[in-house]
Amino acid sequence: MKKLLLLASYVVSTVLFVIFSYGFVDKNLVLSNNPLYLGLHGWLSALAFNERPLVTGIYLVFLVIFFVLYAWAYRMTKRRELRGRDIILTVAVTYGILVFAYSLVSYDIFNYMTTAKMLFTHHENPYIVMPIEIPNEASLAFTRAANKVALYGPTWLLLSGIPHVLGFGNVWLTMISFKLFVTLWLIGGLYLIYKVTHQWQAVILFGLNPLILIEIVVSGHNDIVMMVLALLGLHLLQKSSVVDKLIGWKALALSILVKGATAVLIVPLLLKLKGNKLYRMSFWLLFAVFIIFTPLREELYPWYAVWFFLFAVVMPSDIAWFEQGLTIAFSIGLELRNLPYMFMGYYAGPGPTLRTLLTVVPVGLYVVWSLRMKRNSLWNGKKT
Amino acid sequence: MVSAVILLFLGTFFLHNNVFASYVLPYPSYMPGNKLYRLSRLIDTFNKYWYFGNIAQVKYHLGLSDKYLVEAKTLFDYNQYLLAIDALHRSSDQFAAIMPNVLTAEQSGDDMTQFRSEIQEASIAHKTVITTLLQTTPNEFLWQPERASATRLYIHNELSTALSIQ
Repeated sequence: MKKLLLLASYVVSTVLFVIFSYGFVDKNLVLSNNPLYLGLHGWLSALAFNERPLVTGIYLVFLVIFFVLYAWAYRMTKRRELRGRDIILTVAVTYGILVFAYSLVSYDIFNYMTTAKMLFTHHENPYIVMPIEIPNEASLAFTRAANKVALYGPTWLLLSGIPHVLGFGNVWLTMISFKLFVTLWLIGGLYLIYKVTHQWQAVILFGLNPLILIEIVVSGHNDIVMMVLALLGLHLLQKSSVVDKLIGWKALALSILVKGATAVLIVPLLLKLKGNKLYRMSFWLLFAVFIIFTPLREELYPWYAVWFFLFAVVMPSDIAWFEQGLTIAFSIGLELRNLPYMFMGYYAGPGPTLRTLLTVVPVGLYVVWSLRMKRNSLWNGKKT
Repeated sequence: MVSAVILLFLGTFFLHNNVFASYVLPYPSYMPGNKLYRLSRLIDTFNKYWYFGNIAQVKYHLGLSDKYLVEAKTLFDYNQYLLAIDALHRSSDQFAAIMPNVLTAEQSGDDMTQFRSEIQEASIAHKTVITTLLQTTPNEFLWQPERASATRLYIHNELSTALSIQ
């Protein structure tokens, strides 16, 4: 009964979220001329762009629901109330619905689509030619960062040809195709997590986290491709077979050629670390890149948390409880970062301060709580 | 005061029509004799494959045309006429290779208005350099290397040909 209730809750909340997301469709982008769609979109768009406090509240409610369901699913898995088959069904249904959502909190997917179009339709080198240099390119109307050459490595660029072709030149179909492609990588990642840990808890911890749902399944960020290749690489490099090691290095090299962040993983490999020590160091190195270098370049983007999240869940909870808790606290704080823009409609002004506060508060609360827990356990340990 | 503000306001609408960003040629790159010159030329050759696509090819040929013209001008300034004419030939060849790519891009549906305007500006900048060279160089020059036969260089003819290609 509980299993069904959980599944039904996910179905209802994700379906509503998908409908809600179409209010945020770019005003220059007409996804369909169907009167039903146009009517519904007109109403949703007015809500999204004119009723900002209300829409921010609705988004916050969705976040709360997703986090509550996440905690519930995790607890049920821990108590063995959810078995493997139930977990697969819940994840498949959730992804299957959310993949149809509009990318409401990030425009990166349109950047992927336009870059792929530059290479596979215009046959131009996207590292040399910017989309904006073809003024009559239709996707310029809804692509941000069109005044930049390709931002991602050749692995992603070549892989993006698959969803580009499957989009058949239709914007909506291409968007869904890109999201589906990235979601398939996520499913591959979940399989790998299970293969490494043999724990369904780890699968739930990663696969149903709202940050993963929103940043990967809804927004279609390619960071998951980089991380799945990195985990595959590290996993295979620990095996004794030469073939496995060779494939492992290739996977790691391909991962580095998606975005570059996983280049730091060469350090623990050079130190010949294995098992949880390897994963722990990988976690902290990628966390350091996230917390130190990304704000120097731009800012703390929520989807960058995927980098260290994957390594947090492949370690057993009893030894990596702090890392896992920290990641979940970050996932809350980072998803809250979308609220100021949704509320105000612009990034500047109090936006940066609010975004920092919304991230720092949940993480800070978690760190204080975990330090107290550790002190109490030490204190109790001394007494006994 | 009010009239000054009105004038300034109107000026923003009308005066800007006469203002345009002039095309800037690059600084001279490695020159013949430098250890890295051959490497630089080799990279130029390989870049042809990296700059695939019609628009990228336009950028490639225009960039090299600029680079070799600046190389030619520097060599003319130092009276290195033989090398200068070779660089001038290369610059002209690269410039001539631009338009076929523009046309192919247009045939495939790409709006090349911006590039056409950029090429026109580049052409004006190139013509200015070549015209200046016509005024500062001798009409002909007998290039006499120490251990080889002499070569008569028809400098003005070469410059005029380069001018006609622009």
